[in-house]
Amino acid sequence: MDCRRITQTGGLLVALACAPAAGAEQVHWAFRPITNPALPPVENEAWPAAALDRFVLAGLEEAGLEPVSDADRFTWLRRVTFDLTGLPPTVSEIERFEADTSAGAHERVVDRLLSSRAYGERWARHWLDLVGYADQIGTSNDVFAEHAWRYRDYVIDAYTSDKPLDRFIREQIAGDLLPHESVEERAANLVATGFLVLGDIEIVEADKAKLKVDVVDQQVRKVGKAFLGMSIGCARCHDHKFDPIPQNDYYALAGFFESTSTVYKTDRGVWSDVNVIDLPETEAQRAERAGRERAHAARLAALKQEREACQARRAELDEQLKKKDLAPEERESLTRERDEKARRVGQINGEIPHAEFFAPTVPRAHGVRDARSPDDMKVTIRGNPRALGEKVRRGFLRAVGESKPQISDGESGRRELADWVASRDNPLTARVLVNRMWQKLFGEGLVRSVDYFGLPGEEPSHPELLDHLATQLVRDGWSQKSLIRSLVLSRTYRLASSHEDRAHAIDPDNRLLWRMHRFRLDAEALRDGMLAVSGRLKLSTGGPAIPLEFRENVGNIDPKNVNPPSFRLARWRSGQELERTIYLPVIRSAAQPGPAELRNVFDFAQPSEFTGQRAITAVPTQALFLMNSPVVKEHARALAARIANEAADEARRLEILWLTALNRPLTEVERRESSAFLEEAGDEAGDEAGDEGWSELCHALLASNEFLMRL
Amino acid sequence: MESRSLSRRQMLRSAACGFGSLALSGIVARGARAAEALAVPTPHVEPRAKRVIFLFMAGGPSQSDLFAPKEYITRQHGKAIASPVGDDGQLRVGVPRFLPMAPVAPVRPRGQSGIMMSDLLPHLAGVADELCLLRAMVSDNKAHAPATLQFHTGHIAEARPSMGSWISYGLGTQNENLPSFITIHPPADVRTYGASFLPSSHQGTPLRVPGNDRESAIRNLRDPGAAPDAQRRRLRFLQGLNQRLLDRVRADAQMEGIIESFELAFRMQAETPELVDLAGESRETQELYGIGDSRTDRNGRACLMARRLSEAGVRFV
Repeated sequence: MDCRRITQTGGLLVALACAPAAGAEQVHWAFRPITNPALPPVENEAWPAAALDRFVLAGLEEAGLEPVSDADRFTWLRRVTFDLTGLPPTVSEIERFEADTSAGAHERVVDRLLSSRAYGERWARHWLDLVGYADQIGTSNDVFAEHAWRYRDYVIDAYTSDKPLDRFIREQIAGDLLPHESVEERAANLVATGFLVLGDIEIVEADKAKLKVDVVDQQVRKVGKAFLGMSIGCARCHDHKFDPIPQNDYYALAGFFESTSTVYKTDRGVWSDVNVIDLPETEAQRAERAGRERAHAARLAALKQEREACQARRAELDEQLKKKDLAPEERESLTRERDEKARRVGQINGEIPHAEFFAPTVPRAHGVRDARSPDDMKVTIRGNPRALGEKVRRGFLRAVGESKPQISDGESGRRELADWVASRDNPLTARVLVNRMWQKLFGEGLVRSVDYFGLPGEEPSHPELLDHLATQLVRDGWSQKSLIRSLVLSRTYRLASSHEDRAHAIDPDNRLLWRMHRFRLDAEALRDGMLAVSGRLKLSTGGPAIPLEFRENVGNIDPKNVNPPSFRLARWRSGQELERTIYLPVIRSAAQPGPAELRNVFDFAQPSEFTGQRAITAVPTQALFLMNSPVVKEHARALAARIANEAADEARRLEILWLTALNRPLTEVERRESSAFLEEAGDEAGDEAGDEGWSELCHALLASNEFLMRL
Repeated sequence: MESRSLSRRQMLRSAACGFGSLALSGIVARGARAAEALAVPTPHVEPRAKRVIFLFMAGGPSQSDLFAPKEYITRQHGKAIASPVGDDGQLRVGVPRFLPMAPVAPVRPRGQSGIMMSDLLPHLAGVADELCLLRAMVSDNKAHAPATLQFHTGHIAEARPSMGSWISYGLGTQNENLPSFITIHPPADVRTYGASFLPSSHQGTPLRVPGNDRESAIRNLRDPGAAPDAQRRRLRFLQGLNQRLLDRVRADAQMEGIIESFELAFRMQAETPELVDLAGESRETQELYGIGDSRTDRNGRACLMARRLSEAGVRFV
């Protein structure tokens, strides 16, 4: 029997029909064990550079197609640099690669890129899209997620250090329950569980029973989507309509999170908050904190002392002002001083509670812990927490094999869940992860629905290649870097993205990969790219995104207030606007603020969703932004100033400009047209130095398709 | 630039389902023919309304003061009553005791239909029989932010397409120089006018009533730092680069879409300022909208602008 047909009759039947006992032929491809297919024979033995190329070429040859030619070296360098680091190559990197004609030149580039922190920053952002990450708790009332940045930094570190992906998964689901060998490891494990809590949680929900089941639901959906490529949430109220996920499987998984504590009710009105976990400190951290505590105490004492002095002086001045015989100038000056003292007292009265609220503490993170009395969960009828059905024993998806773990009393079982998800025998996890990497590097996944491997989803274009790569990932110790390395060094990745009529007629969607996919850069790569090109990008090592240290950014911290502490973004740290986009605050309740505004226009992932692939749209608000926004103008001006510094004569300056902005040499036509453009713009502005013309030219390049696109 | 772009567009349009027209979706399609091209299925009830003006007045007086007086509350006016407690035993609000308040002005039946309306709304009461008053709405969460989101999208927390996006998606546009969904002074939460899983050409374009001459109604609608000639020259150069790249790679729907979006943006630049400039409206009209009175000026301008946009063919304001 065919799984797809049985699905119509109900999930439970399907589960039985699709259980591993059934013949392999009947099982949906994604639930079958991962295999290690033999390399297929190809006719054109000279083409493949890596094993994966043989799978691609075999598919093309079968369809009577051949791959287009390789991309030129400039295109390849720009492509691989943006894909791995989210930044363009620098002029010197381009020149060095151009000059390096020896064997291994490509490998050297890739190794350099993979060992950079920029790689971690780039790939961490992809992961945060799946988490619904924001620097805000929920959506209502602008409540800051004071410690969310630690999770963001944890993810960057994980990618930078090439933490094995199975380990990465285990930490995010059950970091608090894992053994550890050092304080640092323990702290990282705890921070990792931020994965489960940093989504959009309705902390203002008055019905706490509903809040609880909604949080559990979110965790089930997130784990299902991010690691398993399954939409398990559908089974909350009924057996899954298409996939072999009966309602009981949902509650079997939900039981792990029902047994987990994520939020708590605060004593402010109806509000809940996300758990805050104290992190263990190293000796060095403790010493550093002691220093900060001393400084803090000194500052408080100084403020209080100053306040007393101000008050005393003010009383004195009030006395003096009572005198009738003061000269008008003297009265004026005394009044001014008195008002000044009064103003300062008011200021200090605000500064002290702010300083006390943010007093140095042990490092903290948002994370989970096991609930006090872990237990299986009862079915909630239509998701209603007060209409309860039967209790369902905690367990895994039956469609994926062995489903009932041994969970010790008093434990949530998340560790067992993490082991199951991160197991080499789980047919979904490695495939889903490999496919996500493929999509980021090639533009489309081998399975195009990157977040959904279910029955109505698309079949992989190259099922054997997907298995080949999944096998390779597991064999190489779940190392993302080594998998990415082999992907970007392949011949397939080196293909040009150019059009070819015959291939297009046969395979218009390029599913067989006869060429490279082109796509527009995402919001982060665009903004970071502009900063890099204009020479102003500022390196960062992470830390809090919202500058809560400025009182103007903090509202409402009075502990007696019925609303939780809130933020606003009135003031930025100096230089913050030049940091990479991943370090800027992500806001759920409003448009992305200040220097992050580009995210509003270029399809940033909505931080209340989990998504493995962003939309790419072309709407006029983007064009207006590129044409008119002061931000792009500023980048253009900075870029013009930068190249003006590097060369005096126009010819050389144009060459540098093209290498900097478009990462390729200028053509003869472009040289002529640019000269004409500069002349015309210069005449118009009556501007001898031509600064305005150069800014205009830079602006045009930054708004051009070639800058926006990764070819 | 105009002549070249026009001919290219004509070419795209003549080539049925050309790659360019696909990327453009509803936003630059034209009237009835566009509706066919977009293959929007005919709804089972033929809609009579062509356009929608939707006023969401957050912070207005409560429904019990304006349209739906509650007998129990009126009777208990000024007496302390216990707070409503949920069936989970949880307090629904932050304080234990309430003082109920009767409507601040009489609420009476109006017109032939007998719709209840407050004396505070004399003008509205005069046209009661022209109105449809729906008193059947409830939100799943009483807090402002989730309830506001639900009002616009139907859901308190998840991102779903907003009302205007659905209308834009379903009906397309009537003016190829403007977006089909414009939102004036929208709520802070971008999801209230977001397109969610619909193509983002259907998301609301936010617009504000300019407070002074330097402000533009749509963000980045003007280039204050450049002379019009400079901007045109820059655009011409930029579209030249784009065209050459397109020639080089020979076909690309995304790039076509971007090129087209620049053209629409350029047309919006020309058309919108005129539309949102209320100076052309007669003094009498302005006064009817409350423009000039500091208490109603901002809202009045927004309403008048909504009318003008709607008349210009914007589907949903």
